[in-house]
Amino acid sequence: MASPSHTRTVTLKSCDDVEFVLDGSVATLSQTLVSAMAEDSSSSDDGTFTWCVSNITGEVLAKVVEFCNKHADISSSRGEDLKEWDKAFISVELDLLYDLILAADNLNIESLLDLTAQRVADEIKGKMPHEIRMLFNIEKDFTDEEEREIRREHAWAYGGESLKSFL
Amino acid sequence: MEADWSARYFYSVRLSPCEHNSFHAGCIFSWLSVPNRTCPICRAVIQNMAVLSEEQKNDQIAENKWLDIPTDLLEIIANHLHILDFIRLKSICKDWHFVLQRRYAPNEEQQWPMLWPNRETKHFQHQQPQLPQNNPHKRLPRLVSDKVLRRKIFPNKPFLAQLRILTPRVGEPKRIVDRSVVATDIARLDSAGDVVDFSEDSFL
Repeated sequence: MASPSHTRTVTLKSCDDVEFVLDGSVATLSQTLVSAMAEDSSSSDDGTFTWCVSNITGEVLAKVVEFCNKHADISSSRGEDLKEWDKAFISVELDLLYDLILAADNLNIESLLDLTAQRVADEIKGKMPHEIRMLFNIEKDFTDEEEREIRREHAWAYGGESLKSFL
Repeated sequence: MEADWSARYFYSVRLSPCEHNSFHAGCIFSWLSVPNRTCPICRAVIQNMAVLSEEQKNDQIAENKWLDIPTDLLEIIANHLHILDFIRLKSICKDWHFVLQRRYAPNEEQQWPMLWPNRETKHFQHQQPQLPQNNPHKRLPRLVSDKVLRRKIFPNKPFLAQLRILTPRVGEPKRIVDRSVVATDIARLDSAGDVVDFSEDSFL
């Protein structure tokens, strides 16, 4: 039978064959790893467990591992300090952010998913639709007519100066 | 007020800047669909807190992959948005519009339904009656702060059994101006569970 997850060592292998070794206690942040380890009955003798993530690159996985190590370390991860650390950690470009969200979802790490989603939300905050499209490089696929119809219901949300007439 | 309708279409939306949340999604969206942009509880004008910094305006151009973001992840992101940003996000592209229109809450967070007075039936109803588009101002029901009608929905209980109408206690002065006081009062009344009859003057 498999030994308890926290006493084992986990090797994470990215799709471009970069390997990361994690403490068992760190790996428990990922629900995907937890359930994978619970099902795994091989390689129990030497206490190691290897998990290949087929769609996460080494660069992204390095960030994920950095996050898990920090958050599993209870002595250093308290309150404001951790918030500051998270803030610095998540100050990444949108491309990497996208990969991080997918990785957080794939490995099922709730705290990372929350952090990344909040970061995207902060990015969206206060922007008009055309600015959001530019941000994410998305083409408008509505016709003008369709767009007008969609906007009609909450017209005030799109106004600039015209908002004043509603107040 | 059908239970099956009310139990499903929930979305967790937060208002800004007052941070009141847990409104029933259908209700809060129809509340805001007329030119009315105040919080139903504290009457704070809904606005966007974020002021764009110069840095943010330098748009980063991302690869096109965001368009293909899995729908469940888009919903998670949407759950982190304030309502104004949420509304705008719905008008980005067809795919996103479809996903966000089909809103639901991933968790079973309790939501507040809002009741709208109906002049004809003299009853409160859960869904807002269709308002004439030409002059919505005159017909907008005023849920003033001393008559906030709401009750948390518990998903496993019959919807109708959970509705309460809250008013201040008799003789208590109206305190509409001080928003913080109003909000506290509502919380207190709610815990006391006051139930009152519908009265004629509730129907404006």
